[in-house]
Order: sequence, then structure tokens, then C-alpha cells
Amino acid sequence: MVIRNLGLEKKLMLLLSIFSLAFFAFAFVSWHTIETVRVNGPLYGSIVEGKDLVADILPPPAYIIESHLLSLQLAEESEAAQQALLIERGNALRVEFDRRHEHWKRALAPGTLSDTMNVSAYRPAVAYFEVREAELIPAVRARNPVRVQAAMTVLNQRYEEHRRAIDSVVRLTNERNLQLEQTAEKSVSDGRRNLIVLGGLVLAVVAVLAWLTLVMANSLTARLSLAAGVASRVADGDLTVRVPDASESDESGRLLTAIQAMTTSLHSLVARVRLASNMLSASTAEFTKAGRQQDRHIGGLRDSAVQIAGGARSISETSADLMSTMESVNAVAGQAAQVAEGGRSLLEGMQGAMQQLQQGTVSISTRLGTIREKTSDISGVVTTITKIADQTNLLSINAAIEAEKAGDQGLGFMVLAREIRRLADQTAAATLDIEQMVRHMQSAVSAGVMEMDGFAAQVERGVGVTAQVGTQLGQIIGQVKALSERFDAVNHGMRSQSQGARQISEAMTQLMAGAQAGADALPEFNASIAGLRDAADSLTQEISRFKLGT
Amino acid sequence: MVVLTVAGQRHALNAAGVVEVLPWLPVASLVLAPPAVVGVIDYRGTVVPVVDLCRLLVGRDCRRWLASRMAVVRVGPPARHRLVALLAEGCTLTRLDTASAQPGLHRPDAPFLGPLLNDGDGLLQSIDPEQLLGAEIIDAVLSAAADLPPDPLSAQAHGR
Repeated sequence: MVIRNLGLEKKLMLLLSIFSLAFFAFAFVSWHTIETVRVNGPLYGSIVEGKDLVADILPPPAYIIESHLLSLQLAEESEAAQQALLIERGNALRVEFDRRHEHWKRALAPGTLSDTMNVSAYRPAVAYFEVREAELIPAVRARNPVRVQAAMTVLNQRYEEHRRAIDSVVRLTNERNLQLEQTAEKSVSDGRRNLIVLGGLVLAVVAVLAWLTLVMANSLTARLSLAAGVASRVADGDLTVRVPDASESDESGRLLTAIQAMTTSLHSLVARVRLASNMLSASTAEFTKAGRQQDRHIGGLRDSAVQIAGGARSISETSADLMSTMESVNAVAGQAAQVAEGGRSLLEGMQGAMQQLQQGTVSISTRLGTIREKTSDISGVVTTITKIADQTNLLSINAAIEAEKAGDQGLGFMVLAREIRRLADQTAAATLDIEQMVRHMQSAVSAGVMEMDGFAAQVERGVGVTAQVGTQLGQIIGQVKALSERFDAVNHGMRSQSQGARQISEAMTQLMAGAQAGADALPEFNASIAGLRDAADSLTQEISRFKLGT
Repeated sequence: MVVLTVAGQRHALNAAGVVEVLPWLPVASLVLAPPAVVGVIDYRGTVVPVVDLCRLLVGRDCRRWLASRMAVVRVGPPARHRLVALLAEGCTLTRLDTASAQPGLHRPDAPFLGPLLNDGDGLLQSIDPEQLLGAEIIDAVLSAAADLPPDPLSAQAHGR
């Protein structure tokens, strides 16, 4: 745009010129309008001319001259048809008069003119119309010339009164019009004068504004050029520059303050950048060293990761094996619990059987006791028999000895003694047999009783043991169940351990890959560090361009 | 012959020397007696020492069975003989054919063993009670008997 390239001063001057031109155009239009519409001006003259023409031609409705002429004509008229026509016209005129009266009563402001028009002129007119209707028209209709003449006299008087009042109204109106015209003329001349004064004032204001504009533009451009100079020096790298006067608070002052602040910030920034570039140079050297160390570390890390991954894989496999073993153990434990359960139910049955057995042994013991009593009786008898047989035996032996001592004389007695001894021996043998049998029986019964007692005790113990075993089996079942739960927990733990080991293995693989990537990336990293070092050097060079003073 | 059973072994004794065969009577024990002497019994008013044959021959006490017997024998010279009860685990009689006797084992430390006999049930070892009891026991018995008046009962038994 053309305007944008103009200086501030010229812009302001252009604005002022446009404003002045617009004002003078307005003033011209106002002047012309005032000249056109002023009183006694061309427009006013035309309007008044039209009104005068109408007033000159038409009979005045508020002035009863036409009614009076009609009354005079009626008084002279003798033909009935003409009379009716005249009466009709007179009535119409009265209606018109009343209408105009109502208009003027509203239109005129209270004052002398209104009183004259609406009271002094109205009352005779009303009286006139009443006389006309009450006296004249009946007299005319009655064709009574005397009454007509009398009515006409009264009417003339009334008309005269009315005409005088109308004359005074005309006079008053003319006076008022003259006054109004003078007032209008005065206001028009005042407007003209005001317009001229306003034009002068505008010219003065424009001149002052132009002067102010020039001054402001000058100061503004001076500050701006100062700011431009400071900025260009900053751009050249001289950060020691100071803005001389930045204390004013207008826009340019703020601009200078901002430039000052910018320069200060830039100064500290450049100082810090210089410091940072030095640190950066040192850091790149450290980086290079660290890169070499990292290379070595990555090598070590890769080896460690390989070892750890191998260990984790073997842990995972071992724990998986262990887990399957645990599962089989768990299954076996479950089977054991089932077996124990079956054993417990069997034991309960066995307990019942044992109690029956106990009762049975008690009855058997009782019967065995009876048998023992009987056998002891038998034994007593047998003992008696034995004793008798023994004594018989002894007797026979002693007899035989005596017979033998007697030699041949005792032979017969000896045969007898031998027979007795044989019988005794047989008896003894028989009793021996019986005794042995009884003894066997007795011992058998005793043994049986003892065994029964032992058996009963054993059965009792067995019942106790069975109950104990049942309790223990119950405990075992509970323990096996608890064991199963613990196995489950252990299994869960093993599974999670296995998973963890697998995850470790995978993580180690990833870590190895990462280490490999790190190792691969190291040359790139070194190249980057070299680039960084070059960048730091160039930055240091660039920064050295700035002068920071002390 | 009277057969005495000692520890399952049968020993034959001449019936002429046997006064009477008795059942196992209550024995009163003696202090300071020879080892083979179990004690004494009252045999029809006479105190008779009891010698356990089992203890003497096999070194153990006789078992007390119903068939256990005490054979009262006469020892010592006929003029001043004494009675001794021999305790054995059994006693019976047998008719023996002394012609079938065979010489047994003769040992200087066992002079009581006589000839071996056969009664059809097997071989029997005949024994001499005086030899069996030995000088010590017989002397003890006899010396004890020396203080006593002559035994009327022995004469009575002898007479039977």
C-alpha cells in the first residue's frame, strides 16, 4: 500500500487535511441550507405567496361576511324556492364557521389574540346566527316585512360588532407576524455568525494539531532512530551498549526499556552460553572417554547377560521339572488321602467287629473257667486213683522183694505180687494217661484262659489302637489335605518362579540385544560426540564475536 | 533185681540188700552233710540218711515225680549195718538172668560199676551200693550209728 510506506508525520498531516476538508464541506452545506429556508428567503416567499393567493380568493369562513350577505339577500327575496336555497346555504356557512372556531380554539396559544378571536369575535357571531334563525327566517317565511326589517337591524348591529372584533384580530395577527419575521431574521443571522466563528475555530484547532503532530512525530522518530541504532549495535555484537534515556513511560519509552532489558538479558545469556559452551567442550571430552568405558561395560554386560540368561533358563527348566514332580507327588498324596479315607472306614467296621470279638472272648473265658473247674475235679479224682495205684505198685514191689528174699518158697507169692504190680502198673499207666490227658486239658484250658485273657486284652488294646489309628488316619487325611493345599501353593510358587525365570531369560535376551544395539550404536555415538565437539567449537567461536566488557 | 532209674539210665540193685521201697517222703535237711546226702527221713522211727543217686552219678538233683522212689538199703558189715535211703527217679522189679551178665566197664575211679545185664528191655548197669556210696559217706553214716543202740526195727525189717 502507498499509505503504509508514508512516514508517521505525513500520515498525520493527511488525516488533518481530510478532516479539514470534511468540515468545510459540512459548513458550506449548512450555510446553503440556512440561506434557502430562512424567513423571507426564496422558499418562505413561495409558501407565503400560495397562502396569500388562497386567502385572497376564498371567502373567509371565520368571518361572517358571507352569511351577512346571504341574510341581506334573503331579506330581499320573495320567492319561496330561492328562500329555501339561501337558508340552506346560510346553515352550511354556520356549520363551517363552527368548525373553524373549534380549530382556532385549539390552535391559538392563550393570549390577547386568542381572546379577541375566540371571545370578542365569536360571541357577536353566535348572537348573529341565533337572531337569524329565531327572527329573520320565520319572518321571511311569514312574509312579514316589518319583522324582517327589525331582524335585519339587529343583525346589522351584530355584524358590526363582529367586524370590529375581526379587524382587531387582523391587526393583532399582522403585528405578531412582523415580530416573528424579525425573530427569524435574527436567528438566521446568528447562525451565520456562529458558522463563521466555528470555521475560524476549526482552522485554529487544525493548525494547533498540525503543529503538535509535527512535534510528536519528531520526538517519536528521534526515539525510534535511537532504538534502531541501539538494536543495530546489538546486532553487530556490541552488548556493552546502554540506552541513554529510557525513563519515559510512553510507547517509545517502553520500547527503549524493552531494548535495554533485551540487551541485558542477551548479555547474561551470551555470558551463560559462553560458559555453557566451555562446559560443553569439557563434557564432550568426558563423553568420549565415557563412550570408550561404555564400550567395555557393554562387553562385560553382554557376557553377564549371557550367563544370567543361561542360569535363568536352567532355573526355569528345573522348576518346571520340579513342578511336574510336585504335581505327581500331589496326586500321590491325594491317592494316599483316599486310601487313608478307605482305611478309616474299614477301621470303623473293624472296630465294631472287635467289640463283638471282645464280647465273644468274655463268654469263651467264662466257659473256659467252667471247664477248668470240671477238669480240676477230674484231676482230684485222678490224683486219688494215681495215689492208690502208686501205693499198690509200692506194695507189689515190696511184696515181690520179700518174695524174692524168701527164695523158692516165695515163688507163688511172687507171681501174685507180679500180677498185682502189673495191674498197678496198668492202672498207673492208665491214670498216667488220664492224668496226662487231664493235665494237657488243664494246661490247654489254662493256656486257653490265659490266651483268652491275653486275647481279650489284645482285643481291648486293638480297639484302643484301632480308635487311635482311626484318629491318626483322620489326622493323616487332614495333613494330606493340608499338604495338598501346600503343594498347590508350592506349585503356584514354582509356576510363578518358572515364569519369572523365563521372563528373566527373555529380559536377559532383550538386554543382550540392547547391549548389542548399544555396542552397535557406540560408533554412531562417538561420531555424534565428534559432531558435538565441532558444534561446541563453532559455538565458542560465534560467542567470541560478542563483546561483553569486563 | 530191683531196677532204679537215674537220669533215664537204669541201674540194677540186688534185691537182697533192699529193705523196702518207699515213696518220696518228706526229707529233713542236714547242715554240713556230704554233698550227696540230701538229708534224713524218719523211717519207721529210725533216722535214715537220704542219698540222691542223681546228684551222685550225674551231678544234678533228682526230679520229684510221682514215680520217684526211695529204696532203703542195708550198708556196712552185717553186725553193725546201717540203713541208707537211695533216692531215684523210678523203681521197678525185673527178673534177671545172671548168666547173660557181661563184664562192664571197670574204672579205678568208679569201682561201684558191676557187670552189664540184659533183661530184654535193654542193657542194665548193675551197681553195688556200698561201693557207690564210698567210704566217706559210709563212715559218716556208720560213725553216726555207732553212738546209737542197736536198731530193733532193722531186725524187724530183716525178719520180714
